[in-house]
Amino acid sequence: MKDMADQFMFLPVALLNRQTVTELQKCNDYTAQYGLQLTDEDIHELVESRREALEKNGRIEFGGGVIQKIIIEFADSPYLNQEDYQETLSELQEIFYYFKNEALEELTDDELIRSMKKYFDDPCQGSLDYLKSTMLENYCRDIRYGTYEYSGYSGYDEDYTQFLDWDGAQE
Amino acid sequence: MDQIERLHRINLRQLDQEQYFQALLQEVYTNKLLAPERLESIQLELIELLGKEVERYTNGESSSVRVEKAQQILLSITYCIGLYLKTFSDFDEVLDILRREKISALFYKGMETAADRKEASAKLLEGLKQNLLKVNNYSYHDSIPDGIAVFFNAYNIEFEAYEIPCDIDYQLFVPITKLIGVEYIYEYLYRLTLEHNFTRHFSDRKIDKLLYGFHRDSEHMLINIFELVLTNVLGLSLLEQNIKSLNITPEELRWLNERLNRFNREELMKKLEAAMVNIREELSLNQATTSYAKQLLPQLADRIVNNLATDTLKEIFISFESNAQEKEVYIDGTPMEDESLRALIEELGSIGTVTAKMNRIRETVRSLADMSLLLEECFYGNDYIEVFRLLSSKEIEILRGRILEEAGPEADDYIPELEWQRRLLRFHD
Repeated sequence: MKDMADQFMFLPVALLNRQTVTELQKCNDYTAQYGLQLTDEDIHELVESRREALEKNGRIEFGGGVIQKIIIEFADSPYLNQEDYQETLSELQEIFYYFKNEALEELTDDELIRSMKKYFDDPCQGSLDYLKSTMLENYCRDIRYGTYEYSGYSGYDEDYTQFLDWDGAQE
Repeated sequence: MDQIERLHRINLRQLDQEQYFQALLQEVYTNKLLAPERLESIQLELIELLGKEVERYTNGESSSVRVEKAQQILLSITYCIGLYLKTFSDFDEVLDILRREKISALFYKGMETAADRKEASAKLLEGLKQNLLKVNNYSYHDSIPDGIAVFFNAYNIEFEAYEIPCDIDYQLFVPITKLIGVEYIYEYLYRLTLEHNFTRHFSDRKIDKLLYGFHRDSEHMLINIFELVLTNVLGLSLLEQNIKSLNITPEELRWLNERLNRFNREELMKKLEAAMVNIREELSLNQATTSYAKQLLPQLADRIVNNLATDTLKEIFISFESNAQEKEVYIDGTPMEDESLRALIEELGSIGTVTAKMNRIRETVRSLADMSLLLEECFYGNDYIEVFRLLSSKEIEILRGRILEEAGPEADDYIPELEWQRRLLRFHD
């Protein structure tokens, strides 16, 4: 048995991945209304890119991860296309973990995802580079220096509430 | 299985006391004392618990945390579990607990154990507060009770149970090396209580004289008062003198020299042990205090043998008069030329760390007049305390005198304009 502090990171991966796969499959039902779908292969790619993004950013995650929340929040964006849907989600996921660190844990998951979506649609108009290298950089710098007056998150976004209440394909 | 267990009985006391639970699991795994399925389920339960604790830590607002934070939370969990398991001295019982109890249940019981230990520590501190020595030693008074009291508000049992969030400068006679978290604090206070059980038999005034005899700057030194007192008490007992006097005069030291020179290490050890028995009876010391005090004997015997050989027994047994005859006259050094002083101020301004600044000051500054100017120009906030610690008590006294001189007749209520001056006036308090 190796030192447990070193070992624990590697233990639950299979378990967590299963959980993520199930959650992502559920998201497909919801995003169908926007013409966005993930194939099994896409889901596998997303799960793999999540692992890489967490490792790269020195983070560990419990539960299914934030990707489900990202999918729901971004589903109605006019700048998401089925052609590069999985690649964009992977990138958004990576951006999310990177800026969680950059904001020094000051932002909750929901606050960061909402800000990402807001900037992604406008002014970035779907440009991930602009989102990453300009808007979120500035935003997180302001958070770090305490110069940004963000209003804080008060409750789930309408989209997400809608998703939670949604019976989708069963009906 | 029973046979295997008997073959591989683990000595719980020999396990790593800082990471007790991890060490225990390691031993159990190596010696195959639990079924592989149970070992695996322990790990899975641990991960599940970690997930829950991370969620509690982030108030459910973040599904991920930095790896270091998760490791800290995991350490806190395993520390608490270890703390609980340490309450069992029987290995079979511990193994049985690991077999049947949920890891989360062990963690919650561990948190309760930590809370109990914290409460017991607080009681020990209360007891110590009633018997504080009124002697001149900064590390003693900084640490007890104020430095250590910080712990009781800052200690976070759930997420940082292994931390010791307080400043303790005062050195114990027997340092604690293998404990962390609330266990360290409890053990520190327990040992300190034993030391006080002994030192409270002697007058504060005499202890103060003893400390001054040890070193004229002893108030600024990181020393252990118990050890100095006990050493002299043992010396006096060997001389069959009144141990309460604490003083070993130069003449008594000569007698001691003659008397001890006759013994080899083994005989010396016997003499010291006999002296300890007498001291125990005279002071009605309890068993725990006596056992603690006895730990000094072997090292003292070694030191005596060495110092007899070099005729330096006075470094072990202290005379009140050692430093008393030194004249209390202060002669200030030569102030620097204006130009050199300006250059030094500029140089200090460009040095980032306080330690580096202090080193530079030690090398260059020889006058209190220069020091006053540097304090005004080059330091701020908590740096002042560091600088004050560079100064002798006499120098501090002179600087304070100069400040109060400016105040004139209203010195009692005087609040100086400069921050370093305000801090210096408070420095002794």
